[in-house]
Amino acid sequence: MSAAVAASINPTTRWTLNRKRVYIFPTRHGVMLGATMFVILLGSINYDNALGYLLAFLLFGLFLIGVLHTYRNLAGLSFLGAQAKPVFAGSLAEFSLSLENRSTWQRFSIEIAHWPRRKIRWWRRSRTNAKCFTAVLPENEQSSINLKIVTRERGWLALGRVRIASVFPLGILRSWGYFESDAQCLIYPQPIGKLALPIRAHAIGSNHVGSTPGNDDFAGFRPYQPGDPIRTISWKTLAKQDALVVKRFTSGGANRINLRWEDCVSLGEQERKLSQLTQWVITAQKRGVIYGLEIPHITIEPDNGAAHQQACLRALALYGLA
Amino acid sequence: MKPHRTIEREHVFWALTSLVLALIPHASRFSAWLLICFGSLATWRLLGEYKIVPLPTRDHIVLWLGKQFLALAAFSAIYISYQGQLGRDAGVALLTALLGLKMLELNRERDFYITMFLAYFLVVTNFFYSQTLATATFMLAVVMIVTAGLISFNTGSGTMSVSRAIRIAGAYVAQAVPLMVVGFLLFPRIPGPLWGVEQASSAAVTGLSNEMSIGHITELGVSDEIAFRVAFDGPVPAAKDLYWRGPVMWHTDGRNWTAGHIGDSPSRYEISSSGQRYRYSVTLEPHYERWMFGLEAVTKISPDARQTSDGRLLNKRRIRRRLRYSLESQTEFKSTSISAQERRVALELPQGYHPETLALASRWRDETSTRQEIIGRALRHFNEHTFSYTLTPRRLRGDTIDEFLFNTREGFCEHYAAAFVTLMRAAEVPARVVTGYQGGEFNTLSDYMIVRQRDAHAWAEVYLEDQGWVRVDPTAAVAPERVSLGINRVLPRRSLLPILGTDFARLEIFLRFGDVWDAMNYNWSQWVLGYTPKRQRQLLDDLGLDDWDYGDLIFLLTVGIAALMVLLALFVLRSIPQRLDRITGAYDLFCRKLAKIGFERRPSEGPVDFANRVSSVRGDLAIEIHEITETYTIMRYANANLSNDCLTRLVRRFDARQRRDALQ
Repeated sequence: MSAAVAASINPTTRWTLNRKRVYIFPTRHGVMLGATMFVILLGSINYDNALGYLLAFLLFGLFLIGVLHTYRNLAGLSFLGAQAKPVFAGSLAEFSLSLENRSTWQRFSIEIAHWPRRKIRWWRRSRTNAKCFTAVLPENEQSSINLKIVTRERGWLALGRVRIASVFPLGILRSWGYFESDAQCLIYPQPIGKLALPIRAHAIGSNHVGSTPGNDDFAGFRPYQPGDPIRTISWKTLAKQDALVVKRFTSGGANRINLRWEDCVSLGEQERKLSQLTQWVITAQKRGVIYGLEIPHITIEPDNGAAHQQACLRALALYGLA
Repeated sequence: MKPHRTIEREHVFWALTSLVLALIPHASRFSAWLLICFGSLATWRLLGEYKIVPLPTRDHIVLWLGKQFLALAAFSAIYISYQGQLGRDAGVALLTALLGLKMLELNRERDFYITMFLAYFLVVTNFFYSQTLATATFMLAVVMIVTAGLISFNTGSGTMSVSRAIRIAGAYVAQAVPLMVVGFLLFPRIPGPLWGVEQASSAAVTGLSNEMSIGHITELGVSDEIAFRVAFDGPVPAAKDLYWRGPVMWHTDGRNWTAGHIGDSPSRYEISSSGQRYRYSVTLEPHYERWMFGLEAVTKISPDARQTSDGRLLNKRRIRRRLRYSLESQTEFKSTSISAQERRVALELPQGYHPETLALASRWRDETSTRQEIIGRALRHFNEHTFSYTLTPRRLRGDTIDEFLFNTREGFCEHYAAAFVTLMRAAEVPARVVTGYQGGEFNTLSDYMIVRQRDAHAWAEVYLEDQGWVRVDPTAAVAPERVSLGINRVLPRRSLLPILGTDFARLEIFLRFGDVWDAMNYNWSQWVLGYTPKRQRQLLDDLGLDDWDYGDLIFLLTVGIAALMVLLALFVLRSIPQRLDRITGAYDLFCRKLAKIGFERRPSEGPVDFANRVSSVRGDLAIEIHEITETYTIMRYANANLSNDCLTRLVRRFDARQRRDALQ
């Protein structure tokens, strides 16, 4: 499992929002309030309405005070790091961000969004492909917030820049700051492929697709890992020793296959081959087949189990990248 | 992707509460159908919120069409009832109808903001009708509620209680008030309107008028409304000298007295005065006429006003808002001039009226030799016969003057003034009626005098060849205490009596409270409502600024706001974790120093890794770099009790550049 965690919280990458790192600007609604203020002021000048003046300047005061309070809602927040579990391309990568509020007050409606560095195009309304989340951060506490990012390609997805923003309290000003994160999420290839599991062609000395694993070459026990087929669990051992172990087979029979690059030649494009292989790894794991992976430069010995599957998927994800 | 907030039920409540509160002061001015219209739209929205009634979305096409029809109907009704004039009243009505309809469309984030900002705007529309201290206080509360609604909306649904939102809003408003004061005082005031201002309001205003028909002043006599306030600079005249001169009535048709234009001639009101000078400033409530009030006789006037040939003070324009002006008067005076035309008008009586009065006057004229004697006879007539002073005289039928003099013999100042002038004219003594106010009471807390509408008075002036125009107050002959003590001593405070009965101790307290309230209102009018471009100039002169222009004022305003913002920032941001910032700040400086000699810290590089990398290249700096890095990590992550300045000192001393030069 530890291999799947792309980045752990690294205490040396802590970022704290301070004066230099917090920006502030009126929102559309702030501009709207500004226009209202202006109209009130013009009317007051024209009709020489003393109370109109008072209200115009009170709103102006609220606007300025808003700058302080909007800043205060962000200032001093620390970003401790992020981590994410691997996902398949096309689904949402879920980064778990750790934020620390060391102050004595709650932070309201904190918006968090993935904000990669891109060339600024003012006509594009948004620069992020991530969903935005709002949260309340309680005082003197660490909170973790999940940020989901749309994935397209396999490989490492670096979180990079995260924008943390807030329009609290009045919605007329937005303050924001950026956190730079080195957290990465491993993206497996998208599991697509119509080809059947290549058992018939490569299984040694077998002529049928084994839905029941062979039990001739018993190779001993190993601890249970999530994802192991239930039928391989040694129930006797469980009864005797109260330990969940599975029987291992090094069978060279029908239940032992190699998922090979060459089997997908007909698919042409490299990415489609990787997608097909990914599909096979998932199917094979699900069926309890002992499977190995043979792709150029990498060979993984046949096995079954969650760790084995992750190793295979990782190899497929990073093929030709690292 | 911005997170769009959805409109929850609590937000609908906030919006509705804000609008209803902002509309309350308008309610009495609206016609009933508009109130019903707004009320039912609001109710529709509320019921829709609880899914009792469907809301008119496009899914319910019939309801949706119904809403469009309703909008059209409301606008047509407003158009018809205000005769197509989009004035102040119609504008507010239109805004109200629009907001009612907007409640049905309160679906998106933007709708909510528009509604709340329009609620702020609605607050202003109230100020066109009322600018009292009470209005201001109420409106401050409304601003707080609207702000609380915005805060609640921006914290996310269900995160903050109503009372907490209001508390926070209260704190924000309190923090905004100093900025408001600075803006109010220092924002350059431009005199005069920017565009055409509508004509005088159609709203009924109490006060004196250009006409006097007997029975009219009765209404004023019991009104506690304030006409003006006077602050004396120095000595205060005796109550019997407090004649505040207003419109002068020259013409009569036998029943009504009118001012006409005879006294408007620009010729100087020639007076010779002597005795004590009184300097004072008057704060006049708007009465939508041009006249101003001053103590007889005014010897020095403010430049915006002029004095007519019959001694009235006229402002350049109609007085639509509170006006403050300074005057100087002397109560011992002699006005000397009369033109031939004035003499003719001052003797004019309508043909065929008051036969009994004319007969009486001609008998006096035959029996006496001087005009003073005739005046004396007339006053004696009022005094000796059973004339009485009352505010509720019997109705006068037929020839009013004859009826009053020979039949009813009861009345108040108007009756006496009109009858006296008629008698004088019949006896060929030029005479005119003067209206205005007599008396005034001192506020017990502050050194100013309040003159109320109930102090309205009418008296007479006769022209004597050797003395000029002489004031004769026939009311004094009947009820001398009316003049010497003021009307308050003659009349009970009618409005208080039913509540307080004869409990005089409580009456005193009540009066005192009234004085406190009035003192506050007085200062309010002095400093807020009366804060004109002129007052602003005066304030800046008092602050010791000479020869300033608008540029200086804007500079002063900016400096004032910036200074306040610094103070407010120190207060608002006081508990943001500072120590950590100082440490990171020092480390940032260290990194910048290294960056200058070409070592850029990578975003993912930890301080120790960074230190190792730099030291491997620059062995000469290694000791210092490691010392700084170690101090930084200890302070930063181990929360060790090191002196705050320790790191800052080290970093400041660290000079990467100089070492390199020394090495070369």
